[in-house]
This record gives sequence, C-alpha cells and structure tokens, in this order.
Amino acid sequence: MTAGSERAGPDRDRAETYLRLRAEAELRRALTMPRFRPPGMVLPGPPGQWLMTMSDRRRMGRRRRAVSRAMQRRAGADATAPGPAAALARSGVLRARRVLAPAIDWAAQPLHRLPRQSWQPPVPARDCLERVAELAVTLAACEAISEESAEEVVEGMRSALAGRSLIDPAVLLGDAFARAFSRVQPAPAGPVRAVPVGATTECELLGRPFRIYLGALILEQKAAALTMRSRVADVAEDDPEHAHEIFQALNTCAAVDDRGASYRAHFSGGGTASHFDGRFRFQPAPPAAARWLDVTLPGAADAVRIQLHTSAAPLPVTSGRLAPELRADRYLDSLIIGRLADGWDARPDDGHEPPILRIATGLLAAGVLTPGSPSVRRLVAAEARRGQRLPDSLATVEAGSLPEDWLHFLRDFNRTDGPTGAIAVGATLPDLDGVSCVITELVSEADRASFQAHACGWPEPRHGPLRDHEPFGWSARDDLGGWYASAEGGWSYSDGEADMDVRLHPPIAPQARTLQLILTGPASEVSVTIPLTWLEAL
Amino acid sequence: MSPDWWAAFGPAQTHVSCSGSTHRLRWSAGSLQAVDHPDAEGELVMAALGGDTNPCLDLVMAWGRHSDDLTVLAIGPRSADDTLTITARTVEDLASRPGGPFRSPVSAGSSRIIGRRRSPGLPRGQATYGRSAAGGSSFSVNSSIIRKGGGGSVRSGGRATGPLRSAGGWSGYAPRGWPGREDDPGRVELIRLLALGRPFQLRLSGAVAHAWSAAGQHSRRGRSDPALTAALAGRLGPAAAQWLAIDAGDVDAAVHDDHGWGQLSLAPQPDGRKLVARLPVSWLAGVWAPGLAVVGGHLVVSVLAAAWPEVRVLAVRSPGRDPAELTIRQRRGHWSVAAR
Repeated sequence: MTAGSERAGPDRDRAETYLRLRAEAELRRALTMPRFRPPGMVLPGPPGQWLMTMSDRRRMGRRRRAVSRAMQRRAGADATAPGPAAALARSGVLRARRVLAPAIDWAAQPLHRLPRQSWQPPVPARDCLERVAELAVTLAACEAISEESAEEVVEGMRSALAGRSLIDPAVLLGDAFARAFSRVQPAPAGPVRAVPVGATTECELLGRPFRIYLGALILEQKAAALTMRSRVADVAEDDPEHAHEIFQALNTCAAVDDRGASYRAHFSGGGTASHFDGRFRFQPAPPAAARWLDVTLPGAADAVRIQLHTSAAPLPVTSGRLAPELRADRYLDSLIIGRLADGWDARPDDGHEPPILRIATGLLAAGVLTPGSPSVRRLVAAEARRGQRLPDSLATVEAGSLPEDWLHFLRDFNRTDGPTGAIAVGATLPDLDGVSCVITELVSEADRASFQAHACGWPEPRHGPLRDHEPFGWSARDDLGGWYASAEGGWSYSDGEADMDVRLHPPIAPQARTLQLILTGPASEVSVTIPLTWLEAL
Repeated sequence: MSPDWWAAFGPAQTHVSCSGSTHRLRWSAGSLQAVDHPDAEGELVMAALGGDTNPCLDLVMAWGRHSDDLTVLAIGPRSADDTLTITARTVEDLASRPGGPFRSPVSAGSSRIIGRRRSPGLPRGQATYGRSAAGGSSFSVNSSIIRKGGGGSVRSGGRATGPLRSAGGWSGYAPRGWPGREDDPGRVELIRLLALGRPFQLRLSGAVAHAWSAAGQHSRRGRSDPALTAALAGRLGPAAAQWLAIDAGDVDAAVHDDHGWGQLSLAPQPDGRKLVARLPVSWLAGVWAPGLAVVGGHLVVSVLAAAWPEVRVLAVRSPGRDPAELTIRQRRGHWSVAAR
C-alpha cells in the first residue's frame, strides 16, 4: 500500500498518512499469524501441540487415578481387590463419587488452562506492533508528526491486535503498557544551584574503614542533596545483607547549620560491597540565610563544613538554537553513532535487517529525509564499512564521508590512558527547553569517565516495551577537538527531577585541559566548559 | 438526493445483562435503542442530572459519544473475514484480572524511580551504574522504598511490586502505576460497544465514517485526513483483493473530496499491478459498512437508493470502466444482484 493524496498537504500529513498505512499493512500481516495464548497454554506448531496433548493426557491420567484413590479411601475399602469386598467397595465408590463431585469436576476441566509460568509462548504479532511503534517514535522524534498522533496510531494498532486476540487482550484496557512517549514535567519553582564541595573524608562503617568523597551540594527550594562516592578496601564479594546494613548506617548521616537547625539525611544510591555511590538528601533545605552546613557522616571523627554561599567559579556557558530542518538528520546521526560504537568493523547483520536501516527506509518513504540528506549518506558510508547489504531504497544513495568527530570517537574508544581524579563542578547550565540542569561533578579513570547531573523539568523515564526516544542528549568536546558521546549510566527520577550518572565515551584524553559538556534538547542546546583540574578523590 | 447512510442496513438486536435480567438493545434507522426501557428518554434525562443509570442506558449514551470516534475505525473490522474476538465475556474477564480493572486506583505519586539504562550501541559493561571496576555485581536501592515497602515501590494509590534484577547485575524496583499508566473511561466504553457483536461493530463504523464524510457533522479537512485515508485503504484493500484477485497491499487509496463517486484505475508496478482508487469517506459508511463493497463481481462505489433489503447502487465491473446501475438484494445475510 502506498500513500497517495489528491491534495498537496504539509509534510506532517504525508508522514502521518504513511505511518497509518504502514499500521494497516502490519495489521494485515498480523492477521495471518497465530492468536495469542496466555503463558503456558499451548506450545506452538504441530510438534508442540502433540507434546501438549500427550502431557495433558498423562496429567489427566494422574488426576483420575488420584481421584479414584481418594474415592476408594473414602469408601473405606480396596476396590481393586477381588471378591465380595470389592463389590462393597464399588458401592462405596458410588457414594464417594457424590461426595467428591467437586474434585471430579476440577479434575475434568481442561488442563491446558492451568497456568504454567515457566514457558512464555512467542507472540508473533507483537513484532508487527513493534515495527509500527518504532516508526511512530522515529517520526515523532523527527517532529514529522506530533507525539499525540504517534501515540494514537500505536494505541490504535495495539487495540486492533488485542481486539483480535493477536496479542494479549488485556492491553485493550491500556493496562499492560506504559506510554511510548515521555511527558515533560513542569520544573519545580525556584532556582537550582550547586555548591562544589570536593572534600574527602575517612569514616568507619560496621568496623570497616570507608573513604568518602563529597562532590557537590545541590540546593533547591524544598530540599538539598549532597553527592557522595565511597570506597572500602579488603572486603569480600557482594553480600546483600552487608549492603543493607551499610545503607542503614548511611541513613544516619546528619547535618547542622550555623543557626543551630539540624537535618537528617536519607541516603539513596547503589554500589557493591567495596563501593557505594549516591546522594544524601536533606529535607527541608537549609534556609537561604544559613551560611554553612556541618555534615556529620556516620563513623566519622569530624564533620565536613560546607560553605553554602560559595559559588562555583563562573564557567563559560553557551546556548543556541538548533536548525529545525536538521532534526531528522540529528536523529539518524545519533543512531549511526550508537551502531558505530557497537563495533564499526563488526560483521554485517545476516538474515535480518538492522533496525537502523528500517528506520532510514521509513524516513525516506515518509518524505522526512531524502536520498541526498547528509545523515542518509553518512549511514550508507558507515554501513559500507561493515559490508552490510542495503535495502533497495538505500542501495542507490551516494555514500558520504564520516565526520572527523566520529572517527576520533572510534579511534579512541578503547583507550586506557585517561586521567584519574574528580572535579567538583557545581555549574548551572542555562535553561533548555524547560529543563534546568546543574552539573555536580566530573570523574575520570583510565578507561572511563562520567559526570553527574541534576535536572528539573526532565522528562519522566519510560518503562514500556515500546521503543522510546530521548528528547535530551549529552555529548562533550575537549579543547583538543576530541568529541565524546554519552551513555546513560544510572538515573533516579521523581516528579520532574532527575539525578543522572552520564558516561562519556571514549575516556578523556590525558592532554585535554578543558571539557565542554553539551546538553542538546529538541530545539536548542546549551553547554558549559569545565577546566580539567583533577583532584584525587578516592 | 442521497439516501441516508444507514439505509442499506437492516435492524440488529442483541441482549445485555441489565438490572438482574436480560434486556434487548436494538439498532434501527441509524440509532440504538434500549427496547426494555420504555421511558429511556426520561431515564437518560435523570441520568444526565446525576440520577442512577443502568447498563442499557450506559451503552446507548456511549453509542452516541463514540459515533464520531475515529478509534472505532482503527480497531474495528476491516473485511468480512476479519473478526474481532471481543465479547461481553472478554470484557468481564479483563475487568476481573488483577491489574486490569476499569477503575484503577493509580494516581500521580511521589515515590522515586531508580534505574539503569544503556544507550543503544554502547558497551553493556561500561554503562552500568555502580558497577565495580572488577566487574562485580552491583545494586541500587532507594532507602525510602525500603522504609515504605520493604522490597517494593509504592506509588501513591498504586500497588507494590517486587524487585527486578537485570543481566548487568543492577537491581531496582519497577514501579506499577508508573507515569502514563492512566485509565481511559472512553476506551472502556468503546470496548463494551465493540463487545456487542459484529453487526453493531459495522453499524458503529458506518456512523463514524458518516460523521467524517462530506455530509457528516465534522469537517474532514484537517488532522483527520491521514486517519481517514488509512481507514479507507484498510477496508478497500481486502475488497479489492476479492474483486481483482490482487494483494490487498497493492492498493493506492486516497480520499476523494470532489463531486461524484471518485475514480478507479489500474497502474502497472514492477511485480504486477496495483489499484489506484479515489473514493469518498461516505463509501465507508454507505457501501462498505453494510457489506456491499463487492457484489456479483462488481465493486460498488455508491448507493443511489435504498430500502433494505433492496438497494440500487452504482458499481464498477473493472477499473477504468464506467460504473453501471445495479439493484442488489440481501438474502440470508448475503447481497446478490437482483437486477441490472
């Protein structure tokens, strides 16, 4: 089915029409597939059905024998014995049958309705839904259609499949999936700022020496959070019970301000037996008039004093609008980078089309990109390096060249000579598309680097199986021109606030003197440049 | 003057459980009636004023609310072979499932969600939160969760769930009642309507298509164009497959906005031929929904007059040819040509 229209319309109409026609085509395809069976109901295919039948017969036999034995016991005689006693038993069996009628009914019900949680039958039609969702999310991410339209199409497709029992009918009521798209929460009122701390202290927890590094204090109107990382030497492998005890101990962290007000902290974070990373959260936040905060860590001899009005040295920040017409190119580029990072010299995908090629084909067919679009030409170039066979729609596209940034990224991806240390940053980024963000600290090791950020107004995380897209993304560039991609490490989210641990790839170049962290949103991007003065942290 | 969109439909009736007994719902002349509620109008007024309602009246009111709901066309049947499996039993089963109620208590909560995600394409081991340098397993726990649930996250009004452990060694708590998990009473209503059975599904589809046609209450110019094009293509495809023995996907369908019944032609393509069709949205309501799409080897393109079970139509024998007038009649649920 191809899209057609008698009236020339905006691109959005064309893209949405294409998406909806694809959904119709996928629905037709799904109609040829087997219906959904709840887990444990039946194995697929004739062999599976035979196995299931035999298994059911055996189980039915076992049940019948069990019921028979129960009836015989109830009758008080051995019905299998010969002679008059058996006749008596048979009469007893008749009585027992009446008494045990409910049990007999239970035994006679179809066995295949009993849940068997150990095996999950495949749901082929779900792939059809996934393909539609993938295209919908792609088009929405490129702003070729609205998120509402994308969601409407996916919901309609999902309901159509469920209404035909091609996937679990439970989704008819919208209960089994989360929405595919994120909702941007309103940022809490009031400014957010971060106070760099950068202090290392020793303490003893559960009889073990801990070295704790305090990164930065994030101050909001209602709460404050102090970032921390800790290490302990000479510990055994993971012991959940031990970890739980450490958690309990860290929850005893307390603070007092210069006005005598005291605060209890709640710790959240994670780690192993040998290290814990996380945040102490103080609620309420110290009042604006407070000058300092003494934080007493559990098992520590001395408190750590944090000067609340110590501002980070002003760091260079930038902000700028992004060209809206290049949005689809940016989206496809981000996918190419991810695929390159998987191994650009990896073998071509055999037997199935990689999602990125399906996505690019969809963008071309929907009129969002053209064969001359830079990202499409870069994709063709990247796939050519892999020796990947291209679909017809891409086979005739002239390959472009890979940007120098990407080549640097790939060249240095596995480097292991990064600097070691931490920087308490405490930098506030300019607001970006409704998001306020502070960078708390930057950490570097020989083979990895990461930074921590706290954001207000951040889109909520998604949990549904449908593909989602990230409206915000991080990257970085050093003063040597090296470019870094990001990967989300850990995150914590609540009511529009997010704490993020963002990994940078490759590790930071040892000669770099500054690092520009760039946050890219749907329509614009902001950055802050951090001098790389590493301090020994742990 | 064109006949009413529903003129080619016969009456339809079904039974529903209402107030402890079995009541009849009847559709005729384009509207749904609760036959066993003689003062349905008065009851509807009372319900609108906040009085008690009942399943029959709920369905009648829901029918009215969904008579222009394009979701009906997204979910509803596409062809005679396309059967929805939604029944009243399905609805009740779903309602009784844990986690599948009609009125779920989930609301916006304040508990914290923690997690670890891995960007596509980046090495799994290097993107693990809290992972030790030695590669040992790691975990992440939110202290407030421990206090509240002792092992599960509890959103305000939600339910507790157990911990999850990912392959990377991280463990956290997947929240039930996550943001976005929302009840949609309109969706439940619609499912109940579709559960009335195929005759009602087709009539409701017809009503929606009529509402968005040139003669309907909605202007179809605007954002609904793609939805209507897809609705048309999804239903014309199977009809064209039956008519021309082509693949249902080999149809280039678009909505015809101008006067007249539209246009049909065949176009060559590398692996065969495709049907290029321009038909008005009213084709869905007046022709497709009553099951008239293909009759006697013709594709019906328009209804000229109708007095069920007899209908006079314009029908095309093959693409590119002018349509001819046919009189068709429904017998035992099937339409056949009565006179040419």
